[in-house]
Amino acid sequence: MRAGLLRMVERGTSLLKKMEISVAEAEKRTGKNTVNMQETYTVYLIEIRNTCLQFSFGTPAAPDTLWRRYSEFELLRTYLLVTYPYIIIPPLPEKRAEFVWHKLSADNLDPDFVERRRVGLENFLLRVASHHVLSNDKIFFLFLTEEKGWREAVLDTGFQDKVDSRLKSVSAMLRVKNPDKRFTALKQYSDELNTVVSQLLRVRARVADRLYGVYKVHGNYGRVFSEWSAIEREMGDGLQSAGHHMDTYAASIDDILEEEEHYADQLKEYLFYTDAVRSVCKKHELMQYELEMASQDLAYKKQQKEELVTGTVRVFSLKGMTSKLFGSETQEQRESRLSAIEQSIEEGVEAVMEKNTECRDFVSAAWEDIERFKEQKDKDLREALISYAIMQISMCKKGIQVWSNAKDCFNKM
Amino acid sequence: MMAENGKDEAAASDGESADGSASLTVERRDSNLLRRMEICVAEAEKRSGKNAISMQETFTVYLIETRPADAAAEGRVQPPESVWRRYSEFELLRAYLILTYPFYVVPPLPEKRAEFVWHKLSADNMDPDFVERRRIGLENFLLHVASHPGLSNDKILYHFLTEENCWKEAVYETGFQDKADSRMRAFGATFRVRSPQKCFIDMKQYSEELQCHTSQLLRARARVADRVYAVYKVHGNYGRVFSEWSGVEKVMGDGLQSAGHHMDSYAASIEEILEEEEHYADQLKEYLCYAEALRAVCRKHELTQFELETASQDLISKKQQRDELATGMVRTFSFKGVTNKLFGQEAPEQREARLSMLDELIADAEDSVRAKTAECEEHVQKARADILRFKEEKDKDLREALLNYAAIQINMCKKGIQVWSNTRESFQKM
Repeated sequence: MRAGLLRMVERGTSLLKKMEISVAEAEKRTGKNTVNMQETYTVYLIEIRNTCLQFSFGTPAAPDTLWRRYSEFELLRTYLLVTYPYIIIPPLPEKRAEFVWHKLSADNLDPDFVERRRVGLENFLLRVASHHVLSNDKIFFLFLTEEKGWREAVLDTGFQDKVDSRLKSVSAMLRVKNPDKRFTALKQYSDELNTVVSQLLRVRARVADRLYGVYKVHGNYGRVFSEWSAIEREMGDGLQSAGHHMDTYAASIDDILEEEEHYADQLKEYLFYTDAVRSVCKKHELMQYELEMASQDLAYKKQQKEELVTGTVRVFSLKGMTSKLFGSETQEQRESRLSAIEQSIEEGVEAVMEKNTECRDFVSAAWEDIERFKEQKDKDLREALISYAIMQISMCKKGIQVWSNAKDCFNKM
Repeated sequence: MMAENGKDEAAASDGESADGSASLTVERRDSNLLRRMEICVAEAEKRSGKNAISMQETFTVYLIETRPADAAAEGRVQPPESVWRRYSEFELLRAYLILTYPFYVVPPLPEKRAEFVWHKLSADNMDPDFVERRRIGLENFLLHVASHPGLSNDKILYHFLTEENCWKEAVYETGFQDKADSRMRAFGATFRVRSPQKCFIDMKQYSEELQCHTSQLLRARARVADRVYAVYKVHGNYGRVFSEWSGVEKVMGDGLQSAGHHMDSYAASIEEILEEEEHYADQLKEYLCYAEALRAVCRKHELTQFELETASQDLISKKQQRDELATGMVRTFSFKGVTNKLFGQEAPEQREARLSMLDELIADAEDSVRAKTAECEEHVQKARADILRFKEEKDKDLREALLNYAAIQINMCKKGIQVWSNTRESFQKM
């Protein structure tokens, strides 16, 4: 995982050229929340090291530091999602532990969980900082450098106003007439990837559970050998030390599975990435929908004008009805209506052009980021799977070592 | 587990049973049957026939093949003599050996029913894997008996190996069942022996502990087998997920597909591994049964010792009675003494009669004590020697069993490394 990020860092955004970012520590705090109740929460220490200074003065400069809690990271991400809807925004580590195998703690305050979250938050910051578009965002910069006043600055951007309502998104999904085939394919792919990665995580949790069981049962071997060694004369010592090897073996699983948890986190990151991909697709659908609506609106207005000019009513309208019932309107009335419609048409044409440009820009920016993401995903997933295979190999090697030691003990009996 | 090196011990009167009858020994005094003939249990077959209550039943018979050992040495190709036997006949042979040689630790038979099964293992006596493991166990039994210095010269054993007909009749004719000690006697003896030999007390305790630990080891192994099986099978899920995933990916597709295949073969490999492990479990089970045989020898000692003590006690009290009668002094309470006091002393003729009767009884009791002492000493002597032999073999065999188990585990890890290395390669090519 680090190799992938390092690659990004090397390619280098201007931000990363200036500073080293890390999430160094985690600490428990207590304070009053919004409903004025005492709560315990964890804060994470962000450290920024100014690389330029470091090189110029030769002595490592003390890092700038500030503390942030998880909810602030969430706020930052929401801001980025809304502000750059054509970018696949890197995900945060999970809010609650999922896909736990039964010995793993699901408690948010558990030190192992906090540690893995710390790593995940650091990943998030590095991914954003190495994105050539996102790294230039001012709010992101302030997040890293200004502890106080950041919240106000974010809210001041008024980004919440840009949030599309769920209703709009849903209707858009259902009523787009000419969806872009590439986006449709991408959405389908992200759904499939989501399914597959979830299954992979579920299988891994099952394997972890059972592997844990196997190792721990070897502790039973340790106990039996120990007890047995007490009644044997010649074999006593051999059995005793074999018993110790079994105990070591049984105890080794905790470290192994803790290490595996990091691999699981890498997979989870891509699980959440699929959500981000889906967001981009949904945004595109919405834009497409709005473009289609605007075009439709324009077409309708043009038709209305035509009817007014030629006098033929092709489309039902209340005016048409009332004309029939109460007599045609006067010439002035007709003239004024015509000019109103013409103005409306002009506005409509502008709106369509605007929407068109918006859509085109969105599509081109989005596809650039999607290509980038695809490459990154292939490399990262490949690496995650390779490191899982390596972990399994390492586990087998340790097994060989333990059993070879036990075999030596038996030989000496 | 092959007891190939039969010991050529000239243990005192080896081949003779406790009652000294020479009719049960074979002509040639070579103490190791295995030196003279090759023995193996070559095959197993299903048969059906009517059983004791005239109902149809299916059972398995095993083919025992024997060949003179010197045939191979002389380069002669001689077809083996073969005899079919079923498990119950092996049981009968063993029961005969136990009762006829109560001072020997008689090798055990493979288990009657599958125990310590982990859940995927068949507990069915007709299951081919179970039958195969039983065939090996029966062969081990015969080889152990044939290389035992004391047991290998037994005539009934020889008959068992070489002639199918009339064997059952021959066994029953020996009247070995009469030597069976009642359970009550054996049980009572355990609590009332005054001076049992220390080495037997120790051995009895040791055999109990050995049995306890071997059971625990077998139980732990069954648990491990169960869970290891589960781990391997779950990797089949990995195979499925990778396959499905490969359908969705362009670049990574091929790599994921082949990784999926590796996972599937990994999942499938566990059955063979655990079948191999079952043989190791059988080695341990053999010692579970040996512990029982050892305990039987100790119990027999307690019984003979108890009988000796009882006979000695009886002799002492009879001598004492005689003393009292002769001297007139009543040292111990006796009914005669009381009646004498109440009704007057008896006549001198009556006294003489009683004295001579007592003398006869004393002579009988002395014979009895002598016989029991001889029996006891013989048992102690032979049992001690056999226990020593057993201890040596046990250390060797258990050590080997544990080494086998460790080797199987190492092998399993090596196979795991191979599978995951292949999988890693698949990932790297993606």
